[in-house]
Amino acid sequence: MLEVKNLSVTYNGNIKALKEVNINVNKGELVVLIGANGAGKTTLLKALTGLVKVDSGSFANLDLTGLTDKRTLNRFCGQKDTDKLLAAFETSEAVFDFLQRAEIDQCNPVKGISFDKLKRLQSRYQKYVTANLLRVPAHEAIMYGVAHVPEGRQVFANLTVQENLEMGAYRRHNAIKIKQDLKEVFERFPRLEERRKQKAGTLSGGEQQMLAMARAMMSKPKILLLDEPSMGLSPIFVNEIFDIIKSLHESGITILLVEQNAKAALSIADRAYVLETGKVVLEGNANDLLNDENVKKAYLGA
Amino acid sequence: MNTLLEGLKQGLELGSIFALMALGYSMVYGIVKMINFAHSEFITIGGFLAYFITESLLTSTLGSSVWNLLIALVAAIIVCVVVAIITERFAYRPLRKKGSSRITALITAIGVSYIFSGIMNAIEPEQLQFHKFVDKNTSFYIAIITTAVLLAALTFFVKKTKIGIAMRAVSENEQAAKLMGINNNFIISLTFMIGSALAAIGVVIYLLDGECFTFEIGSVTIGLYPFVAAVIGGIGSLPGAVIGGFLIGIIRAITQVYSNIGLSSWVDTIIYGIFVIILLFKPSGLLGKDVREKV
Amino acid sequence: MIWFKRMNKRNLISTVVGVLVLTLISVFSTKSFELPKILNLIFIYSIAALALNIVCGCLGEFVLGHGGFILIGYTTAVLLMQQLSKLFTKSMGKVYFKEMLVYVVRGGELHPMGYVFIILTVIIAALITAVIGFVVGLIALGRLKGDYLAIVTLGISLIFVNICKNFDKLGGGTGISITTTISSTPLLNLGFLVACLILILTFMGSRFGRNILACRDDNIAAEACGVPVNKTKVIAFTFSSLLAGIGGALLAFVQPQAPTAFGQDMSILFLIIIVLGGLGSLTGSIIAAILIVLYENWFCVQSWVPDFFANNPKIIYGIILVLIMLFRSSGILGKNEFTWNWFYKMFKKEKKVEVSQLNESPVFYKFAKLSKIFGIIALCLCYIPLIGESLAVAGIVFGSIGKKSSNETVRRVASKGLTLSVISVIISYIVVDILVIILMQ
Repeated sequence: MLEVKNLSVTYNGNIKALKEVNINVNKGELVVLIGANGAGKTTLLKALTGLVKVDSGSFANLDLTGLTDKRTLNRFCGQKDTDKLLAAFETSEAVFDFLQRAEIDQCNPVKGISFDKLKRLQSRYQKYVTANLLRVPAHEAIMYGVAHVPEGRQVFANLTVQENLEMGAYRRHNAIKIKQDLKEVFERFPRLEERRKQKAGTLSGGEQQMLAMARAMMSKPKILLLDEPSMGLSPIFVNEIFDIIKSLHESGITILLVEQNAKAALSIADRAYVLETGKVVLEGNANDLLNDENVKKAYLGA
Repeated sequence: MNTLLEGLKQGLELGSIFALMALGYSMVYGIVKMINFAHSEFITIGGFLAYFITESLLTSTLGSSVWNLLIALVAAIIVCVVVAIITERFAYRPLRKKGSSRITALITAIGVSYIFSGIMNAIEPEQLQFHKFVDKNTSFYIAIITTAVLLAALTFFVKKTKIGIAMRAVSENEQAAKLMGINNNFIISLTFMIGSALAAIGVVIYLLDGECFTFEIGSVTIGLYPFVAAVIGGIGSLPGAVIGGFLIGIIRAITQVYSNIGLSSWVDTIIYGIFVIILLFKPSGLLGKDVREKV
Repeated sequence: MIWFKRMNKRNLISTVVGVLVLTLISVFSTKSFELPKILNLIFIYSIAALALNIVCGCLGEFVLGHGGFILIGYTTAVLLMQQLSKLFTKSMGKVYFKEMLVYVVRGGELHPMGYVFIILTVIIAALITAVIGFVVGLIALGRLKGDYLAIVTLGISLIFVNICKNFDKLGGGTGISITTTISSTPLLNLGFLVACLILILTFMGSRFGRNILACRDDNIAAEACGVPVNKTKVIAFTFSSLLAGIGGALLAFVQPQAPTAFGQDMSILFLIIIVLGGLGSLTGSIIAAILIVLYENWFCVQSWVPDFFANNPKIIYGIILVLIMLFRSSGILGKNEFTWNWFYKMFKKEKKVEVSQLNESPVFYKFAKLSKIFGIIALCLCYIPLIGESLAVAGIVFGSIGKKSSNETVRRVASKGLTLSVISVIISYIVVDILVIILMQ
């Protein structure tokens, strides 16, 4: 689903934070990036969501074909056109199928949408289908289904818990659905519901992490980028957070997890990459890496 | 103006005008962490424009009716907003993009304010008198009511609407806000728009009872007072700006009342003195939040 | 003195030569009417700009209240002088004193006693300003940061202006002055500038100076390294107000000002000067001060300059500020000091270029060499009206042709020639002007 090719990031003209990194994340996987401090893990996530500049020649292709649900359709065609398209093709899969075809015949099967508009929708979809994530400005990344939980939680400290969650759903417009999702989030994180009206800055570190993740989930992402969720948390909370991540994964979300706590991360992951001074030095199944001698020595404290 | 009561009344009126302008300073500082020195010039520009329009409409069929004033007000708001957006886009945004320090932004703001001030001076260096639309009594009520309504509307906007909450989010943490899909540049422009609109409204209310003014109205007559008010009240806090505005307004008016003992010429010292003292004891202002720097 | 040893021989000689030239100009400037005023302002503004640069550029804390301290220096100097003259008159009799001072002012010659008076007054005024600066620094610097500090210091300076405005003895609406009784000469001001520079260099080279520079880069890291940040800030601020006091006091002997002139506008003017010159660059502030004083007092009054410039200083200053911040926020010299190395490089011979190696017409190289030669000759002969100018023009033309070359060395030679020619044109203008002024009067 996410294919990162040749990603390079240079800070201040000569410090290379990432050197031609290649990473793949398949749909539904939980991929983990481990590495020491300064290895470039956070930089990678930041590059993906457009928060840092990347060198030319870097690619990050987000393949969203196969994600043919109505809400994606809504996002790109708007409510009215979606209804018209669905009226013509009945299922959203059929609509996407239609849009994917290179040619549209002269006879326009869709009532209510002009031919030109149809062509535009089509080209838009083509562009969307494989988006070079690196060309997307930071505040549009979320529209492509990429949610980034940044390092250090970074909740909005002076906004209440509820307002933070509402901000997560900033780009969504269906108020009823948002309310529903809010309810679900509170069911999953009862502690957040208790502190609903409290200012986010007054929450403990672990609760803030929960809030940050819940906030990211409010945007209904296709892929979740988690940056060092266990950083600065007490061991009990670390376990809790990883349980949450695991359950999120099990509910079908693709996750790219960056962690320093290699053991906990590898135990819940499908595949993993090891990053060292900006380069990928090892990759493979999480289990294999758990048992790998080098990894054990360097990161698992064997 | 002789009695204390009249002085208080004048103070409240002046205070509400200062409050409107202080709100503008406060909102902009809250979101881009920069003192917009050019704000005082937005005030001047608004005043001038309102003046020119009312003067030219006086001879038309509208005469000195309310419509004349309202048209002038709307025009002043529009022009102020446009000027604010242009300033933000071409002078402040490039600095934000470059990641310049706050001091660089401050200096640029001073430069912009100088440019506008100079232009205004070149256009009309003489003293002008605004047409007297209402008497002092009515203007008092207009000032108070407008400020109360606008403050309520603004508070509602910032607390309950999605964009308002987004504004607070951007002022908290720009990076995280971007990740939520919030377009920071748009929100910041919007903040400047609201701030300058408030400044335009404030200056028109100040002028409508027939005040005399010069091109220095923004930088000297009204000058730094709204800014001082915003800082005293706690920059970034809306009710704080209003409280600060009233405080300064009342002090100003009371010194006028006692001008017979020469108090009025000390108004600068008193106000700046209070300003310094308050900041010494509560650096973040009366209602401001104490932000601790994390190492 | 560390800084003394650090300067290499070349720099030292050039600096001394520069100072001597200025001294000569100052001595002969009394013949003219305009020149002394400009020189005085240049030297005084330089001192005040250096004062501000210590706090803003070297320490990194922004203060907008500079005008206030200059005001204190000014007022104190005037009052002191008034008291001194009264004291003297009482003890030595009115006639003797008046005669002496009248002798002092007549014909622009200063009686030795006059020098003593001025120096004494300036020093005392500066010390008083420093004490006030110490108190203000103690109050303000500890707790406030960044924008808040700037506004608070601005407010404090406005309080000073307000106080002086309210008491007629301290200035009132029109200001007090003593220039009618006694006024100083450019030479004296130059002397003070040199003294201040020596003081600054010693201070900055010492332990205090290093502490200050450490605080600029990172307050917290400095504290962690054992630098007493708050103390250092107060010390820097006090030193800066000392220098500002010197500047203000000297100003008292040069031109009369009303208290309102020391308010926001003056503070911001000095801000412009140090930003233009480069925050943290001492020579930059001096250069910028020269530019601004020349602009205000020479450029704006020239007949060939449209009135717009004189009537609307704010627009020009505003544009300068914005342009600098947008395009070169470090100012002219950035953090570097002006060294004479640049001049030496101009005259150095470039590596010889093999004409056969050039893969282009040898014309470029020839022109470039000619341009450099013409430039050097023009520089030497720039005071001869027609010959100097035509040589310079030729140098410029050849230089621009030479710059089109594709070979880097050739281009460098050409640009050197170009620069030399341009400099000779500028110098010819200025030197001719000065000579005319000096010789014609």
